[in-house]
Amino acid sequence: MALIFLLPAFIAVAIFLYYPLVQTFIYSFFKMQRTMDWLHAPFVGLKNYVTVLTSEAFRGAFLFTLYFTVVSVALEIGLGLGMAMATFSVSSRLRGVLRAVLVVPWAIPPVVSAMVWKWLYHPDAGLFGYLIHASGLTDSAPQFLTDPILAVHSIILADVWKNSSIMGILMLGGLAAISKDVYDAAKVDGARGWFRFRRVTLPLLLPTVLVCLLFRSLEAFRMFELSFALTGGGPGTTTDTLSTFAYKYFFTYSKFGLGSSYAMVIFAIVLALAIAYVSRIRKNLRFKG
Amino acid sequence: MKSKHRYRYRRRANQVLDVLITLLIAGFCLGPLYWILATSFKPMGTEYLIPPEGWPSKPTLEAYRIILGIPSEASQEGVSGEGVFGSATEVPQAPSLHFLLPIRNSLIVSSTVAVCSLFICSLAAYTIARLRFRWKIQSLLLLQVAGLLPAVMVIAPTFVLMQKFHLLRTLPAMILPNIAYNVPLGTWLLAAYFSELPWELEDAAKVDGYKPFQIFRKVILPLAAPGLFSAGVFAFLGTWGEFILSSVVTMGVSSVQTVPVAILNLSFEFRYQWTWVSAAIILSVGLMVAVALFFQRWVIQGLTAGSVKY
Amino acid sequence: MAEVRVESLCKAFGEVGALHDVSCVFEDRRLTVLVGPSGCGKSTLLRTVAGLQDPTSGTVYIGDEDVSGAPAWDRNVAMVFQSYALYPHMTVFKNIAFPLEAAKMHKDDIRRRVTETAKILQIEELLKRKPRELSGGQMQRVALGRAIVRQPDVFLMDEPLSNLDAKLRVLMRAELKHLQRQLQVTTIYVTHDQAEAMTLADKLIVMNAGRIQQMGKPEDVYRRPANKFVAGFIGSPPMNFVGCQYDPENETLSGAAFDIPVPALWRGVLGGGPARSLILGVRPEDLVVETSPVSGALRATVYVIEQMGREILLTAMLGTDPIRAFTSADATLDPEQEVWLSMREGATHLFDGQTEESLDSSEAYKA
Repeated sequence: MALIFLLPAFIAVAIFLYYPLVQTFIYSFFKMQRTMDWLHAPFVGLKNYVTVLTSEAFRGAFLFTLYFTVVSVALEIGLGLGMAMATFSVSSRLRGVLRAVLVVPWAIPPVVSAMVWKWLYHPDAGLFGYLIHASGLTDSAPQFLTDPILAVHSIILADVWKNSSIMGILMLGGLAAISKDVYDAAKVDGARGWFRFRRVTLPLLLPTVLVCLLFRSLEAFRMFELSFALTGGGPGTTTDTLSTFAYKYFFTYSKFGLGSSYAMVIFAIVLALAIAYVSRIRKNLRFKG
Repeated sequence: MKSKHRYRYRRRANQVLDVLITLLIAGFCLGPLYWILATSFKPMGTEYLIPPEGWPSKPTLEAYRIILGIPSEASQEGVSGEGVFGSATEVPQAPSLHFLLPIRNSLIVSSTVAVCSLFICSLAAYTIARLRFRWKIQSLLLLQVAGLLPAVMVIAPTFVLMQKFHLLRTLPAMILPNIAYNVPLGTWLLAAYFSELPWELEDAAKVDGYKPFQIFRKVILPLAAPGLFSAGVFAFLGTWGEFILSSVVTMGVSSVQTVPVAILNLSFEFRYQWTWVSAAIILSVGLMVAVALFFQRWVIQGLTAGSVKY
Repeated sequence: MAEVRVESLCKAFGEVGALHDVSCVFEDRRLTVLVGPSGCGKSTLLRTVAGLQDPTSGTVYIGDEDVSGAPAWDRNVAMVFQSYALYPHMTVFKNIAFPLEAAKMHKDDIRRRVTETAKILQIEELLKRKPRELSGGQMQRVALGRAIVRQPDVFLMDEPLSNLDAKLRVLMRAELKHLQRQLQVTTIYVTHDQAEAMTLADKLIVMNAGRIQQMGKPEDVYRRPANKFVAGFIGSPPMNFVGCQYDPENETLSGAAFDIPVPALWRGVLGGGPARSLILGVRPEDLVVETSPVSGALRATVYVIEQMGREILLTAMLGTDPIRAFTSADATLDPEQEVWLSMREGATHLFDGQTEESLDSSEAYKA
């Protein structure tokens, strides 16, 4: 009986998610150039994987993806936590306003948000360039999207803007879940602001933070749209994430075999991360069902 | 009486702090969007003025008219600065400038996906959260792992699949896969929500002889309305923002493009017309933000329903 | 050790008033109980003293210091909550040590104090456990421990026993009383249970609808309630009330179903005055049940007989008003039987028909 209820979900997932997985897996063992027909393509075994893992470009993309994930997620959680605490402390009328405000950046599609920031970063007329140049910090407007180091961090900033607010909302929920009595008890016990935060709020918020960490970093690792839309992976390949790199193999170079093995590697890494996370925080989670 | 002096202004200071915090956070979240909004109202070319105007001195709906393909009377305003097209009357009637089309497409795709995925996910979530059977955790896991797949892995085979069924360059090519893409998150959210509902009503219905599907329809669904709303909103917003699959499957055909693809194409095709791009952004964002704000209470409720407890 | 004084305290939540001009003194080293029905403002008052809530107006003094604007962490008070509010992520030891760590006490001193406190409350074996591993009673003691370890000026207790089962509650009541005597700390205790209030209080403050109804020693409040509310709230089973009219010509009190001479106690107060409507109150234990007519007694019909083991609780109908009385356990009574209820000397209460104030104005127990 239960199986029938589950069937639609399983079917949908099987066709559009697991079938591509299997197909990609198969593709990755063949050399396919401009063709999707693996039945007639030469079988190359693990050669694709070797190519991928030893390539300089892969290492570059991997490092950038790693750096991006670590820095973005750390900033997003930190900022999110700050915004959550701030929102929690204001009067309830303002809190409703703030919650609505926080939802906005998240509601915007990644591509669109990339466009927003592309304009802000515009080399000739972008607001940021103008502000920095006018305040005398530099000789000319900084090239946010074409300078290698700046480009990396510009992307990070755009991502942080989009996601720290949703982190804030999630952590706000976590804060609200802490029993008010416990807060009151801490206050009466003589715990001032920072002490209370460190010893009571933060530990009780930890489960929420860990869950946010998990979901957000898995997402960040697979980031595609920001790099694609803001810099196209450039300059050169400095801001290529693993995903944009694989995309290029598929659609720019039409090397489907290689691209597939690339995609498999990404999947393997993400899966490994997910497993590592979940097993580590298992004891901190208590979830019904 | 030393205390009274120290604390006299505490309440007032707190109120001031509240307002400051609100302004800061609102500024952070809404600032970039405000900038786009302002840009969208600038006459063509004036967005390149140095120093940039905080708010256009001569605001106009020109950009909106152009991207919506509404013919405009010859504009009297001269354009200062470097506009690519000399005056506003030289409006190219390129198809990509009927921006209502992508909006319509996105609306159709997103709402269809939302409704369908709600149906599928709630059935699955109900099973996992409330029914008794042996492989609950495995089923949930199976559905969640599917959500870890990187987009790049999925699109090529899906493209081939669509090709085989002659669905390329059609809306269903985006609707069907997106339903599947929403299953992991949707079932997770709904399962969490369902598991929090009280058991008594179901037991009473069972005793009264209702079959599982009837119980599901008559008892659970009404109760879970907030959770369903939020899962639906998530599916809607997620699909609206989906880019990779849409761009691959529409293959450049503008009549079936969804909003993200259309905006990106707009920005490449008219890469200097930032007022137009801004207007397009505001149109699409405006709708989504309105949806998000309207449903925000449920959205937040849905997000925190499965919150982990200590 | 400090006396707590509250002056003209008002608190409104938007339009709703929770406290109306409340002033009282909580004596140094005594256990004062705030009692009243839900929503009477007792918890609000307690939280205002604690510093968890700011009053709309009025002042709070702890010792001689005006602490009105001070936040909770600057007042030297400790609080025990109905839900215990233990820190779920800390061990019992850490829970009790928390306030001392907040005060930046030295680690060794903390250890010493915590173990002493644990010994007093007999929870030494629990020190390494977490709150979720404890029973209700054990959590209670840990919450107490956390409060007393600080040796504060004031203890505040917000219905600390309400979450315990009945038997445990009675046990803990006695222990709390004993503990307070031992520690000699000013304690303000809030409860809605009048029995608990009576047994624990050195001084009782009865509240209703944001105002103090009466203050005084439990036995005084019991025997000489200031108004109908206090009379009906304190004591279980509650006092019986019947409306009646004072007839000055015949010196009688006449109600719908009775007509009795004015009890000796009240003749002086009423005598010679005008006719007025009154409420007659008498407690179930102050009525003597007779099966044969007695002059000056209330004539009623038996309605329900509840066998309590030690005695019988009789509910009889005086016209349309139910009236309850105790009688000996081996009395033989039948439903619909006629009984005569005579009121014990000096155990009657009269309240004004409009104001519901007690006619006993010689002792001013109300603030």
